[in-house]
Amino acid sequence: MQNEPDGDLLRRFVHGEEEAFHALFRQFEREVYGWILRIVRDASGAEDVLIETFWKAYRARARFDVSRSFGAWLRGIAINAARDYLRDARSHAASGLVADRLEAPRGQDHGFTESVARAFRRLPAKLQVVATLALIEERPYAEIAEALNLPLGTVKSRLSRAVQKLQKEFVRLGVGP
Amino acid sequence: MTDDELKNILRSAFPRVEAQEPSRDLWPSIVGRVETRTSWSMLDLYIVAAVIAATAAALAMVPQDVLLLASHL
Repeated sequence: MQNEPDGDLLRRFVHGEEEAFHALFRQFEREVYGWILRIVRDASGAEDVLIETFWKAYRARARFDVSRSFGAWLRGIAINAARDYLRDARSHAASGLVADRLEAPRGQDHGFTESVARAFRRLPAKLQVVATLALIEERPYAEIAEALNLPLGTVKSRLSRAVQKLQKEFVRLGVGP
Repeated sequence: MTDDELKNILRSAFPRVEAQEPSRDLWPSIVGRVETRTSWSMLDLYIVAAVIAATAAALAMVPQDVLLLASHL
């Protein structure tokens, strides 16, 4: 996370000053958007989740402890909101309402990408988040643990479960190396 | 299938997300959301006004019954 905002700005935010909230939004919007986009992998959806994140942060401002890291607090809210988005997208996809949103690289066989996407979408949201960050975005485990506010061991065990489920699903769908 | 093979499948299907920023300024949407959720709707105001009016009317017409009821709450 980038430089922490000063205590005065945070206190003003906690007291509900819109100007302080705006300054914090401008300072963190790009970084938080980046985290959300890595997880939801859809630009329009990521914008909705970003709005949700800052609205939730504003609503919860009275509970924020100004002695703690604002960036880490905000990232936690953002990742939870992104996970909720994935959960909703998963249930809509299951009912056939939403097409898969993961983008395929140019030149990649569409059937292959679709099969991989389908397998990926079948993962529970909490496993999907860890698998996206670790396997696709190649973020270090320690960074993922910090972002998700989880012990390192939990990140590793979730990743291991995700890998096992994906391997089974790829075999079932005939996706091979 | 090995872990490395699985990673290769995922990475060949999905590119990494490069640093990006929102396509538009989202601040107005956030302010709109905050104001919508924190302001009172007309229905809220009607309900509050109706409760106050009913309480005042009851106090004016049957004050002892209202006070007796209040003492039991």
